[in-house]
Amino acid sequence: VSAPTSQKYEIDMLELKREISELKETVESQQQMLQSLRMQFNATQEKAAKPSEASVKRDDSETDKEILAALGATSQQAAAETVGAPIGSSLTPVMPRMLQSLNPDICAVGDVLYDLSANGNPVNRAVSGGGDRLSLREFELGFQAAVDPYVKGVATLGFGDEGADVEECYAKSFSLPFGLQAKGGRFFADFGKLNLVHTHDLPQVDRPLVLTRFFGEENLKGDGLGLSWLVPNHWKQYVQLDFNVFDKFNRDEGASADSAAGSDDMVKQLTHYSNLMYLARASTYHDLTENSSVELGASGITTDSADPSRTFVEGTDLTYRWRPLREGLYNSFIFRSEILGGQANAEKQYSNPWGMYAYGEYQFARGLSSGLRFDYTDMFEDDKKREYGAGPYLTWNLSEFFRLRLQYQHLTSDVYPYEDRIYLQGTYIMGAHPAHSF
Amino acid sequence: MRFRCVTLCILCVLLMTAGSAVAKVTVVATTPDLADVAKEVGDGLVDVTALAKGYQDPHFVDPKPSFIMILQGADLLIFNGLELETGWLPPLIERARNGKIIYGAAGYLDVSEGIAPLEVPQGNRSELRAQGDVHPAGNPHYMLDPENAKIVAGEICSRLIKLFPEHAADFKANLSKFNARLDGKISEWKAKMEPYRGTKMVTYHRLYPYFSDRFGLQSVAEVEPKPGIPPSPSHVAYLIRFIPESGAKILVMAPYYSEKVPRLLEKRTGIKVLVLPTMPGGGKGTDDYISMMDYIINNIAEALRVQKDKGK
Repeated sequence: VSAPTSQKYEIDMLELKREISELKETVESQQQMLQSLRMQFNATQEKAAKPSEASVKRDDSETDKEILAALGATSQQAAAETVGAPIGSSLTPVMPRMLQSLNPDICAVGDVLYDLSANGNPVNRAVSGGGDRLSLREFELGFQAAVDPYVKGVATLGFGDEGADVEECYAKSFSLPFGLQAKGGRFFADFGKLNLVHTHDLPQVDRPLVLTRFFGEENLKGDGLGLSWLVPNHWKQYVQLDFNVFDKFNRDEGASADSAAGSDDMVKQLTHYSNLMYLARASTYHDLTENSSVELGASGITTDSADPSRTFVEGTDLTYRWRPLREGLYNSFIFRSEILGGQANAEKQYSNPWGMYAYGEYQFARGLSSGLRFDYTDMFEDDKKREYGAGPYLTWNLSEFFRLRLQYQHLTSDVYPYEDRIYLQGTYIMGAHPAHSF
Repeated sequence: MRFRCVTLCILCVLLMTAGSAVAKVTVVATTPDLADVAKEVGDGLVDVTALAKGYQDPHFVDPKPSFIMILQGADLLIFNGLELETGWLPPLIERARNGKIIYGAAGYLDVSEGIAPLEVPQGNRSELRAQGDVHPAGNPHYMLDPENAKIVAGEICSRLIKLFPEHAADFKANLSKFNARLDGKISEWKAKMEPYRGTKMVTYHRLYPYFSDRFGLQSVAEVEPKPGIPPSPSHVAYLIRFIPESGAKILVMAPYYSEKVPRLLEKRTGIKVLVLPTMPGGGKGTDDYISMMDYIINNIAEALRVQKDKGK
């Protein structure tokens, strides 16, 4: 009986020793914190002593006093105790810091592209504007924050060769009753799957041909309102309906008549007759097994024009995913396809173009995946003329925040001579990049 | 028209009463370990669903739309915090449109709030990611220390009481039952591990700092050169040289990592590879938290005993 007891004492002793060392660590770290706080305090006091900054500081301390008055005396005392200095001066460095910590989450993305192909035909210059050149395709700044208990704010700024552009800027409700969600501002149209993806997050270097022919080189977006409804149902299946109304589109109004690229896309037709545009989308998702799932969607756009020649665009999309839960770090597969069709009136000459893309991508190691995409689309100017593209790509995610990609593409069309394109892409993300939605 | 209005009103009332008639509280936990603790505390009064599976890497869970439907009906969302779920939980909460579980609501419970985090990175924040996928608020794998499971159970209990005060007595009774059971187990586990105090080990990912602190083990190296970065050939070559030198006896890894590199190290250095669950359901017979901890402790103690016998 005595042996285990002594052993128990020994265990207790060790336990005590460990606890003491933990306590020691805590005390040490707190001392460090105190030290750094003291240094900050001294530094700001020195600054405040400088005559040039004195006026600014006074303003600051005035606002602080107001804030403190609003907060009540207790926080004054608490703040004074923690810093261990007179109230008026000590709070100058502390309060702005607290307000600064309310800054939104910021992320910055750099997207560098090396287009190794020779100069091609003018129509296919969508990605880099020309062959055999290395360029920064885009630098993007993203902001996100809760605005108040009711809405969240999102803003994305894009910087490219053509200057800066507000890509998105909208507020979105947190929780409306009945499974509703509303948003307002400038946002990507809820059309299909890839239209909602930022250029640097695309699964391939370039946007599928059909999307650039129908919507232009960037995402279809506009200034408007959106309402989305998570449809309650007995089977607890995911069914969502989305409605968008857009007033203004992301085009230069003057340039819409004759675009430099020579191609007139569907959106220009849509906005030609009217200012308002409506969008509806229905989508559903179903888990096939624990590892695989299928997602289906249908979207449609039209204008408010009373003219019988109004323009329509419809699309359907299908996504199949396979990712085993246990080996999901190393293996996965995705297949996605979208088919788009439109009925447009270009100067009273009816055109009914359609197009599609499909890609499959297999992940064969941690961070490494390769895929193949096929493109087909009618030329918008003349739906008897067609364009095809196909090519493989290899994506290497060195980490969650840095990605390299190599892509080859063969393009042919009824109008232009064929061309081969090779791209090398590097994308890096700094800061708080929001998690990707599925 | 009036008839239609009346029917609508009746329907609404029926729907509302149907909602309130459901006796059980719907709890959603991100991971199965938290789900099991919630089950213990809410025994019989709550319906608990875990989003991730025990054999899945909790850092990389797909934010499937089917999870949105689960979250839409939740009264309480329990999550691990310390940025463990940061890659997938925020878009799910946002898309679920459930006011009960959004940030700041009573049904939003980050159980890491009561935990003293280890390995909180120091220094310049903007240099942090040069160290790999480091969690800025500290290592999130605290549930492998059963003392932390007690803290988590306490937090879940007080939140359940806040949400459903009518069941306060039951929750409290369940909590003390769970704590008593866990206390017994903790001293049993400590006794089992005591002979191996100070033993050195290699881990695949930095999953075990809380565990090693509690049970007196020492982690000397990782198979990943930096958190979240897969092992490179040069790092593997280094480990082949380092492991015999370090005196590490076991290599511990989670079931969702590739066994290729650990098995190579086992072959070349003689270190014993142990594939151990990190959450309930991650191995055979590990359906709840206590049986999972049993499994981990028994396997480590057994492997170390064999190594010790070999050494004699």
